[in-house]
Amino acid sequence: MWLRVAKVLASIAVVLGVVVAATGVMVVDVKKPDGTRLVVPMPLLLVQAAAPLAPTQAAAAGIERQVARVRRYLPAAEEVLAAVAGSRDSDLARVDKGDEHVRVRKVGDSLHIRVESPRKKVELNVPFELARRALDRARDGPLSPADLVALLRHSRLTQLADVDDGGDHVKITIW
Amino acid sequence: MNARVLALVALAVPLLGCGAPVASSNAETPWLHVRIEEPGKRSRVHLNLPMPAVEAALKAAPDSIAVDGGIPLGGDMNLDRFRRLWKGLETTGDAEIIKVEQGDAHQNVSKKDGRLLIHMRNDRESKTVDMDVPGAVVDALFSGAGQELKIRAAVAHLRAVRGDVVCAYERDASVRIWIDESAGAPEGN
Repeated sequence: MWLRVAKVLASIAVVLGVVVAATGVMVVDVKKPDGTRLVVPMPLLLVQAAAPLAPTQAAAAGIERQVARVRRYLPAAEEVLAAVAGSRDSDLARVDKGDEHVRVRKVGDSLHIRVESPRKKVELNVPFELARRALDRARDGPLSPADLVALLRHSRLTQLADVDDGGDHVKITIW
Repeated sequence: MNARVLALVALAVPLLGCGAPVASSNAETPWLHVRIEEPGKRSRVHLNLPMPAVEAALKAAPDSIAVDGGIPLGGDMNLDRFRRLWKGLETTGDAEIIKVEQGDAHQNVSKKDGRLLIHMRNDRESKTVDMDVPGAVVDALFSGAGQELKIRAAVAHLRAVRGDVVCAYERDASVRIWIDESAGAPEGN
């Protein structure tokens, strides 16, 4: 009888593992200046399910306001993205002004964006597939936070963001 | 198959299936390069863009722009008059279109080997502008009427251009725009 219970528990664990592996995990890694480290793995499916319940109306409205202003340019933006995605790896843009530096590079199938100033360092890796789907989705209407989370499934094995503001150091990785 | 193997397979399959294939790049794709440098302000802008991306971006731009007022060539020159001058040279060979020497200011606009060459220099302000535009691009730019410049038509012809298109130097700033087949090589950190 105990063997049967163990088998049932094991199969539940396997099914959960399959679901989590298939839908992805977002890992948020926060390092505080005092040395405290917090690593929070969150299954994307759970984040996506929780997103509509979170108080994100203001954020969603903000996103929609920005997207609405540029919606008519989205088809051209998709073409630009496709052209860049199909090109060789390169430094696409580099802007230096005093101690502030912005660099945009095409590396493999991602766009790497790095912004550096004496007080802050931000690195973003945006897979072209993620950007393409986001633009495609934005053409059809308002993008909700849940939509954005769902799109993260197309960024597997990517360190999406690395933000160091001199205090907290936050890394977001999708597995 | 035991549960551990099943779990490993379940984890591995979606991870292996992640990256979408990216179209292979063509080594002969032209690239537009822009360099704007202002050493006095510790400012520089470097852009390296594949021409197909530039052309796609321009689809969102207006087909043409209207140039209000005069153009900075030949004193009272306006775009329509300059267009007529250029078209008048269609059947001729090399020719000087405008030459102005006025104190420290020098302007020379000519047609050479089918290209439009513009040289403007102001010795007092240490300012120099050189433009070297292929005739086909100028023809496309001037394919409208009046004060209109056909931007998108001109960009379509830039695909065949190689070399410097615009070089401008001031005492504390420089702008260079050129096209070649090299991507922007990573410049280190």
